[in-house]
Amino acid sequence: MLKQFVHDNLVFLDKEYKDFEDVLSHVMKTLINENYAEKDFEEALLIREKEFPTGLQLDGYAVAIPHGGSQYVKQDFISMVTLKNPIFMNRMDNPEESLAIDILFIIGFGKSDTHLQCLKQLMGLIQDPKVIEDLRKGTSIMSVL
Amino acid sequence: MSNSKIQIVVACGSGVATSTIAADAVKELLTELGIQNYNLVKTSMTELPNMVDSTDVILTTNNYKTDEKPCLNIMGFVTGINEEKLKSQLAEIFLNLK
Repeated sequence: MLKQFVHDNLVFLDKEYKDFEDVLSHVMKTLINENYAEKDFEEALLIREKEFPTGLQLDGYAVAIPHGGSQYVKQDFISMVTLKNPIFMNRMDNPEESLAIDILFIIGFGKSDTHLQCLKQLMGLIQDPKVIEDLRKGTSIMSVL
Repeated sequence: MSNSKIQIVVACGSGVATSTIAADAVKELLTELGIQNYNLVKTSMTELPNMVDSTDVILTTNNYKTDEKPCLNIMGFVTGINEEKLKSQLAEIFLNLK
């Protein structure tokens, strides 16, 4: 089910970015060019991340799932970014604490309710250390879906 | 309480993604507990303060605290960490309200 939202052109592997703003500004180019989101999606996500961060502390590693700005989403998508060096982002359930993030899933969903199964599948994926390790090594996300 | 529905609010930063997943897990738990008489709404953290008065239980995936109503961080439903402990804590809250 996730396959319909994760597209090869939205998968960015082993990239070097200095912070989330940097990650997003690069991903935005594709999102705009390929008609996934409007320009304002970028600011909406930055504001949202600042007010309500999306870093998740999992069992021994951390992942961020930036999302929001649903009104600027034109086609639903999930973009995956793996990083050569981790960036620091704040923790969702404790915004005072920062986490070293080395994989991000940027989620653009116009409406959430219809995508419950898809989000659950993504969370299942994120919780599996083996899957995360494989993704970081460059295994195609399509092959683990 | 016994004649009225339990009012549950599930909040996350935008009211979109994590609250959807968490709300679904809460509904599953309510079913397991045999509680059908409830009303569950999802909202964003920005809207949450306006809903505190009209709700019985506040569940969030953020760092929200209030003394006014039973309140629990249900991040475990999103990350799967300590999920069993979370379920029993939440079950206790619901059973106390029933």
